[in-house]
Amino acid sequence: MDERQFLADLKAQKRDAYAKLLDIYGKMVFNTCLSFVPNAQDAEDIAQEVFVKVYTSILEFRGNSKLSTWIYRIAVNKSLEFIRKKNAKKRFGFVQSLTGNAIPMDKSSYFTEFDHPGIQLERKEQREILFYAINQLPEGQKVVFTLHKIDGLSYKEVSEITKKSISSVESLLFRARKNLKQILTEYYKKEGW
Amino acid sequence: MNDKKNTSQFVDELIDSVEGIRTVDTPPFFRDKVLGKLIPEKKGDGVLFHPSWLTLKFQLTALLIFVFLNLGVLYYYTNYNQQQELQSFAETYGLSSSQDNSILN
Repeated sequence: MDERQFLADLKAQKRDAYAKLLDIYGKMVFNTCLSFVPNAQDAEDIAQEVFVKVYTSILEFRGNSKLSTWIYRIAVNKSLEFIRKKNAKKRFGFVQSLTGNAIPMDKSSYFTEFDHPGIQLERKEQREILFYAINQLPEGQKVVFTLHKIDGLSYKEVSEITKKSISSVESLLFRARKNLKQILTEYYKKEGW
Repeated sequence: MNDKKNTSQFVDELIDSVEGIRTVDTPPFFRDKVLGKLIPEKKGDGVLFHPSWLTLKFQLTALLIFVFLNLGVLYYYTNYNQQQELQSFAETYGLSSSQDNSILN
């Protein structure tokens, strides 16, 4: 595939070029959105928004990074935007949390209904708890952990997407794991483990 | 102590288990939905090619000629049928002049 010609076709907004783009990156974008937002319907909506963004912003793409990196970045930003919006709505609705009565990892305070088609039924509940815990992490840690651990990207790829050095990616990943361990241990202690 | 170790091990395994989440295919019609949103298919894409001389004026004239021809044929056919029916009626009841002049009578 001639990358330069492909990019030129995308910039010229040719239908065939976008069909090809969807064939190449559709699955990748959908799975990344699903890693951040574990609900098939929500992830599909976000993935659609990602391609709309690609279509409207393709002229701004200068080719400083790989096209896949740029698309990943849009997918991450769109997913985080969605989570922020949903979390804000949930926070607004739950006055309970202001009084300190709320359980830190409560299903009702999670931003979406858990429905990840890639997770087997028998492990669903444990994974659900894990996703609730990931949602408690600071954004930087959440992004790095999700891209590396769930999406399986290398440190280098994660550093290119997040525009951070490899050492800071490693550091974020270390802290993410430590925090997750703490959140999950506390949760299971409360559950009587 | 043992419980603490068990929980810690369980949590570690749980964290590592995210690596086992399998990738899934895009939902059906995802590609078409997105493409339709981005670049709607041109309306003319499905229409057959027609020659340039087949203008709207030409098509209207052809349609009018077709209508008039059909009306003419219909009028002629109705008249002819009426005459036929009248003739057969007259012949049935012996009112036909052609029957009166028959040499058999």
